[in-house]
Amino acid sequence: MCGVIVSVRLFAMLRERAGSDRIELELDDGATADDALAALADHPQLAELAGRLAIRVAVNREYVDGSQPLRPGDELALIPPVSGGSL
Amino acid sequence: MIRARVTGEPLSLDALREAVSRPGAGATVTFSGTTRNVDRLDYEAYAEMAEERIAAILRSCVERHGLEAAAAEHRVGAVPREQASVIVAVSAAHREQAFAGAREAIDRIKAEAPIWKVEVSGPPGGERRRRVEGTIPEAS
Repeated sequence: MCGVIVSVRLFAMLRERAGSDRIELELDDGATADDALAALADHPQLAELAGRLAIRVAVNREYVDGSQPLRPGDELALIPPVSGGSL
Repeated sequence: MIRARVTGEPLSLDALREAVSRPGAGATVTFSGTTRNVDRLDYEAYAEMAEERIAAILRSCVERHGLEAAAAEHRVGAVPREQASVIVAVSAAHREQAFAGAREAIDRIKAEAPIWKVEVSGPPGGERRRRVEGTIPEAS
């Protein structure tokens, strides 16, 4: 299986924990958004936080389901819970 | 007409109200979300996506509520107490549409825009920081 390296943008608590606003993940060809999230379990700084935090994946600036296939050149971002606020 | 912007500068509700002024608009509703209690809020955004998302929300509100125009701006960086972090202005023929459109716009901006905040209080060097966590946005 040949892999692809994807660059992933980080924000908020994920950015702080990683100490960087971007990481690279090595994924298999045909990987999905869920595969990108699963790959965080092997990341030394992010594994613990990613294991307990709800994270939405954004691809090319749109929120996607976990089944969304990733393509070379996609702009990937991990979106932790947004600030929201009470009504 | 749609206007969506993420900026590090202080926000002007007057300018936004003027931006949605239309000959056929008998009602204009504005909303201002303001830092309260704590010394400041530190905002961080995925700015390019946040602008696109806010624009999409405003387009949807114009369509659903028959608005004449809708505009919103979100500030990032440090926003001191009593200053606005987010402002919304919508115009419509009548007030029922304008209130409903403004309400949906601000509720969805807060739930869907990729923007994060930290509450900060206390003197420099002894600051207390608390990250405010809501929920993750739905997939589109």
